[in-house]
Amino acid sequence: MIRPLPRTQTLEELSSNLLLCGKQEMIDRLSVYAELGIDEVLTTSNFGQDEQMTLDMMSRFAEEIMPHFKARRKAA
Amino acid sequence: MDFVHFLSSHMLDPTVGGKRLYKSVIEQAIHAEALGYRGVGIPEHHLVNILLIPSPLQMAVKIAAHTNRVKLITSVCQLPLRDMRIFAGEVVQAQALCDGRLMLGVGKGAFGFETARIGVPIEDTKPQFEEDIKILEALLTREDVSWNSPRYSFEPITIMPRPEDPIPLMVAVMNPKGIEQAARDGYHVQTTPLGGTHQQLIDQVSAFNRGKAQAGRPLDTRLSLQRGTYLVENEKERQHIAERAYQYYKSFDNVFGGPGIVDKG
Repeated sequence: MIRPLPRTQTLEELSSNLLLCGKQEMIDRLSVYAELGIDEVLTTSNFGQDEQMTLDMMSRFAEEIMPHFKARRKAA
Repeated sequence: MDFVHFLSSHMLDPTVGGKRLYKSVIEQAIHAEALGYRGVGIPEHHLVNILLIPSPLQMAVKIAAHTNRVKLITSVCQLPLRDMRIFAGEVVQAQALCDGRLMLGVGKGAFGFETARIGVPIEDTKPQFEEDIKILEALLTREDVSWNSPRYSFEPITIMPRPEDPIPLMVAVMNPKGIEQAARDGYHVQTTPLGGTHQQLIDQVSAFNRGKAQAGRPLDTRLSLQRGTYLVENEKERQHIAERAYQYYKSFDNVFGGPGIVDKG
């Protein structure tokens, strides 16, 4: 078991660095990646939370976020 | 832009066990396919309680048996921990069992505790990886491969069975120089700025594009970006996940560039 060690980065700083956000902010931040020409995002979402939470979040992500980038890909 | 769901994990309680952990991993992979994700990323780590999939190829084959479309992307197999003569055969076998859906992501290894305990000091992983990937690619694409170096010395061998589907190779690398080289060599690239700045990401993307342009031939290679991502519904959920993520990174940072303090690892 890895021993958790104190971090200099605060929780809020980490939270801001990661994409832990609602729909519009998620679309805005991912759009920056799409505009840079990144082909795909490997989404890391498992941080030890309840398994059902992850599955539910994936459903929301697929419904609310992914279509925005499919449409962009088709337009391009 | 496509999305790949990373089958990462953080086992806070070791009594949870592999059966429940891997059941959850499979469920997420099946769910990802149903939702339209392009693929799933399968990590490899040993001896620690995060990202704990010791055999990504084994997991890829299991997921392949439960899915039909989704790409199975090892993210990433640590080459210096393996003998390429055996690994090449395992990769061919896995691609056959995955019906051609495997993308082989490879890397040098990132956790010093892990590589050292398995016999490879972290400072040796880069030069070893640079040789390993050349040997691996030779074994996957050619017959009668021989090699003569301090680490590998063998007469001509041919991996059997021969691959029947392409085995795309993706290299995990963060530094721009390495990204540019990997892109120039024709590999797909996976990167992340981790906690770095946006400029760092721009430098990484630019390096990929430069390398690809320098390759001297048309390439359909892809750039994949790993990011911590969680779509929240409200502030309470955001706080909960942020706390979980913070706990995760207390462990991650310990083994990724940190002192590597592991109990019962």
